[in-house]
Amino acid sequence: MSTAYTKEKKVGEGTYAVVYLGKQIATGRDIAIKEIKTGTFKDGLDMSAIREMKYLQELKHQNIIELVDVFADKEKNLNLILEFLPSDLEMIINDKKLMIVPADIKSWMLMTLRGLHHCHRNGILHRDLKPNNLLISPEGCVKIADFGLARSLGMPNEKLTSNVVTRWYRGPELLFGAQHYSPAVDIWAVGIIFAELMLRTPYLPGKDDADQLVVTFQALGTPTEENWPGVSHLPNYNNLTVYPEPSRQELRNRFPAATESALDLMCGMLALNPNNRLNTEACLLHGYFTESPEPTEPEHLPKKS
Amino acid sequence: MVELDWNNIPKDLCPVCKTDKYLSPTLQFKINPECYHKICDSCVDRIFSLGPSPCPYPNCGKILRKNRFKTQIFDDVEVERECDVRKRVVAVYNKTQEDFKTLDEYNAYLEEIEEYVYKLVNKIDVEQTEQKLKEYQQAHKDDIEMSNNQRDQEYEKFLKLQNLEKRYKAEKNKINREIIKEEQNLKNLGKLEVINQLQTASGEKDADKIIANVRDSMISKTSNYKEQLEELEKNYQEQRERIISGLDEIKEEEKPKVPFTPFNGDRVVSPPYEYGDYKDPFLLKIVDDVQYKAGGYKIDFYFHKSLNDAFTGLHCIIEEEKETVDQVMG
Ligand SMILES: Nc1ncnc2c1ncn2[C@@H]1O[C@H](COP(=O)(O)OP(=O)(O)O)[C@@H](O)[C@H]1O
Ligand SMILES: [Mg+2]
Ligand SMILES: [Zn+2]
Ligand SMILES: [Zn+2]
Repeated sequence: MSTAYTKEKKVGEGTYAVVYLGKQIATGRDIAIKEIKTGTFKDGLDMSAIREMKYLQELKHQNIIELVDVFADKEKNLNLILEFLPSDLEMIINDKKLMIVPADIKSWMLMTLRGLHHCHRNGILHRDLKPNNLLISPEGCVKIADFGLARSLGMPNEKLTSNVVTRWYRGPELLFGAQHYSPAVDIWAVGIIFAELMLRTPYLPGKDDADQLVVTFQALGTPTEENWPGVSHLPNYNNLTVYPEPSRQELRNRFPAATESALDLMCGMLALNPNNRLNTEACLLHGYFTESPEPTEPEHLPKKS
Repeated sequence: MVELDWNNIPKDLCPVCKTDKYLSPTLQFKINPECYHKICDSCVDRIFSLGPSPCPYPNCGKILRKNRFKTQIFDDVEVERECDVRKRVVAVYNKTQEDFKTLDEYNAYLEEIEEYVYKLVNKIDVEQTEQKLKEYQQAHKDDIEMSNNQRDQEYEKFLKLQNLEKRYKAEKNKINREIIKEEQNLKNLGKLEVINQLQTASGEKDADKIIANVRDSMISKTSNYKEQLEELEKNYQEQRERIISGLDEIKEEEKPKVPFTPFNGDRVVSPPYEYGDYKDPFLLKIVDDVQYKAGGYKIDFYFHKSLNDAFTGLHCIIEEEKETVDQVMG
């Protein structure tokens, strides 16, 4: 344990790590200590911690979690010192006492997309976006966190694993097992989060990997060679039930509070064919963000009660 | 058990789960305008909750969606169908008389609608008619879209009015509470004041005058509140009018606003490099593959990333930065 920080209590646990609340002794500032679980990795290498450290060092942005420091403890585990963020978007979605209005959703989307734009313009894919990894600062700002699965765009001959992103937020190219994909996988996840914010319940909650395909295509239609050339050559594309694409009216019925441009943006982010999906730049320039209502100021967003 | 005759289903039986309305009176039947096959409520829930699925009637094969199931309104399925068809046609052919220059044109339009409804209900030239409807919809997409945008605007107005009313009521309640409180205070205070002043007063004449004074001040205070209420009411009505007529929009634009910056400064408009139509035969050959294309992989991202990495830090001159830091730190 470093002498510069105190460790107070456990505040969270993820797949790879346990997170503690602590204090930076010199400043008295609250910090989070992310301690990577031992024994999960071969060669004693904590790949996810190394990734997280590497990418967070490169990224400095008001909507990305700040990495304050890194140190190794006695067992030679990496400990990441992060700014302390007491809440996340999942808690807010699940807190049924909170009222969420369209302007709030716009504000969270805007901050998430700004953070993601910064990742993508630096060539980094997050690959695990979900409400639970979008942390919220005491001032209400969204901070993209958990870069344990992040990757930079490598040489084209490198294969990427398709086993990334928590199932419900996994884009169709990943469901089909593609090994060469693009930042569009993150856009899909944000589109699903957008839908979830409007519905206040997960949009495509597949029970297992096979079910995820069914649920996804029931909601958005089954991709075909026609609207997605080459899709049938992807590894897991076989024996699909062909579901029709939903009509605009059906989408309106499913998202009754969404304006036409909100639906446009959501559909642009949820294009089945990753080549047709909007990128962060197109999302941020979308009319949804300039039409009324204006996004809520972060400090006025609903907070965990 | 007797096989169910799907062509002749008993009136009160759900053919899917074989529940009889006679035995379970809460049973509700639903139909879907795709095929009008009746199915009970709980079967609809069970079969279609996860998304569209095929109709369970043998040889039907229509893909049905849960949100389109509805309770049958007319006893006669044919009447029900005509009604649905009409709704569907009119949703696309949604012009009103004002949209036409002459009555004749309008009548011709109505006749066209009748023809489509008749054909669809009686299953004459169904495919062609559907095609025509589709074409019309395509051609008039903008109009239809516009009416949807109008719907959005209406909704927004509604929200604004709701908000305004909420604020108005809260303000009104506050003033009313103040009036009650003040009246109470004033009464007590008035009593005290009268007694006080009477004690120091010399004659009866003075006492009358004092009481009159206190009453006057009470009346003036209450009327002050009444004025406030009137002012509030006037303001409220004015703002309501403005929202209803859409004038509040213009007013909002007038006031200087911090412009919206989608990227909040984090956008590289002119990168420090240019690679025109650089071609790397080795890499291009690798990515010329269906797996890359279908997965969404784009070699451009990689080029940009590499160039970005190479140029990041090019304008950071550490010595200069050090100097300014030294200056700041003294
Ligand atoms: N900076 C932080 N401040 C407060 N809590 C945090 C912070 N980072 C993570 N947590 C909590 O710990 C949990 C797991 O952290 P996360 O980074 O997502 O780890 P994993 O990579 O294992 O999923 C989070 O869901 C959150 O509740
Ligand atoms: Mg996590
Ligand atoms: Zn039934
Ligand atoms: Zn049927």
